[in-house]
Amino acid sequence: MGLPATGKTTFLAALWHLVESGEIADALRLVKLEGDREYVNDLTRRWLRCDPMPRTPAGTEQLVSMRLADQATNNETDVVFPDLSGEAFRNQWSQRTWSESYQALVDDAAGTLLVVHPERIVEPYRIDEARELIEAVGGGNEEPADSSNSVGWSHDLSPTQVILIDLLQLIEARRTRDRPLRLAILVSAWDTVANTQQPDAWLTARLPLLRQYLSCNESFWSTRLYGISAQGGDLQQNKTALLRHMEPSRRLKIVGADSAAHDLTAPIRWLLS
Amino acid sequence: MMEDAAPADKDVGEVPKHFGDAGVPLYSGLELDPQTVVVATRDELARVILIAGPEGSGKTTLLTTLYESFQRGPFSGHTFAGSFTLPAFERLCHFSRIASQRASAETERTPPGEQRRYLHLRLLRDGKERPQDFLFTDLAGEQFRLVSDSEEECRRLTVARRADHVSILADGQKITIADARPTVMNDARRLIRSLLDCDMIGPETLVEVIVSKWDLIASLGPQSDALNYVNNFENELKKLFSARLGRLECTRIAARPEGTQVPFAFGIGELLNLWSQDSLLLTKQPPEIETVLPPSSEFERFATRHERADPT
Repeated sequence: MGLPATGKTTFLAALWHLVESGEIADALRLVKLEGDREYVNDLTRRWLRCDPMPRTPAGTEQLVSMRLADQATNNETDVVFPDLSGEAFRNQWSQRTWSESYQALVDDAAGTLLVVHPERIVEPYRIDEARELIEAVGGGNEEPADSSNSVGWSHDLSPTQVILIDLLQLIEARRTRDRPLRLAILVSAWDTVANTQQPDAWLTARLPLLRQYLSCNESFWSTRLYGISAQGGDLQQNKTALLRHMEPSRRLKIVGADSAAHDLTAPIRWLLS
Repeated sequence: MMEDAAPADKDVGEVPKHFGDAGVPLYSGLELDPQTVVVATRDELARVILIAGPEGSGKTTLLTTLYESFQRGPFSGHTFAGSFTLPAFERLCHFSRIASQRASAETERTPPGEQRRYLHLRLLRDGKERPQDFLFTDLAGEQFRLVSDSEEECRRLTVARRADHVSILADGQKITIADARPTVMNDARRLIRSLLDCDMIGPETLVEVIVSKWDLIASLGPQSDALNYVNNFENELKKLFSARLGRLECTRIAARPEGTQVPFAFGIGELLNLWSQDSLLLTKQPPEIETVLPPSSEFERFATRHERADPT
């Protein structure tokens, strides 16, 4: 799950190539893909060319089902990934409804992947905070702007951390199966985050309200954080270098608990364990 | 979302077609009505805070500032654990945010409604094992005057009997005006007296008299008439009513001060600490918020799950 343009589909494309190619020894390996593979193959072709991923329009969501094997133990597991559009999750927040199909996912899920993008976070900046900053740099003497053109409230203007908390609360409220959920938070485009930061510290700094909510609700949400780069770098600035990898899976980057280099399946392995 | 790992030799089933279709209604996220309040918070014996004050005294700003204080991290020894009314809070906060494209912060006036409504926060106090539910409701405008003036109206305010705290705001801006000053504090005194005389509050009730917009009084200096008036009146209130109440505290807040002399949310942390102290009302079975329980709902499952997760 995740809001629009957070990298969910890019993750899926990279994951499909990773498990299908077997290029990374520690990663889960594809045994079988269920159903129509045209969708994931098309995504992966784009990923291999380092082309930007298309947005998943609402109403065209796909269900991707794979049988994966742990290369260390040879244990096989069927895993189903609904590739839902970010708009579908935004609509849950604004329209306060979801489909019967999604309700079934909520009831049956063993775990949840939540993707957040560090450059797509709406912050709850207050007007008084802005005024302090302006005064600090010597401004604030101008005529105040006319407030007659102010913008009315809509759900879309809400801070990212508030929306994400509510999406998780909705799952907690509606899940009929009485079993906690594992939650793997994937911070995408991790290559844009400072090298010195770890995912836990990033969450505390950038989404502090979400961090608080998760720390108080560990009886329902068991959480791990990962920083991932499913493209491996900036497609505009580094495309040539990215295309040079003989094994494209080596473009992938992941930081987090029990995650070997390039192994984007580490969060999934944890969710299923 | 990832579905349960199925045995390796079993089909996972057909692909659902309609993830985008609406079909299952979710809780609205707007202010809670009395029915939903009871179901949503029954396991936690929620703290009910009744906030009273005339229009413009800062009731809603107080609550939005409390909510905003958690956006950057834990606040005043409390950690945010959730809220059933996040969209409601967001709507109320909007005109104090840059996203509104306003030049100055404003709080939307609360329109009068027929049914009592509650905002909800769940907070975990440092040192406690379980979060505490807080339900905030207000007594405003016309009703504020009627409850003070009419015994019949006062007795209709049944939420006062269930309120762990009755917090009465006195408008600091009006206190700075000599003509308006006597009325402001006398309104607070008359409300307390009316509620006590009608047995709507008593020895189990914790009362706070809160002077809002304290930055405006502070800016007048340490010897101002306004400041002296507040100090004197607070002493008078304590003498009059402390013996008849669980506790009477007088506090000063500046939820959204003008200028930078007084910090944002001045006094709100101390007020929160007063609200989250052990309730005198909950030492015995509290009266129910008067309602009829609805059929089983998502809130009921949510409440039951928390009950099982943290057995007392």
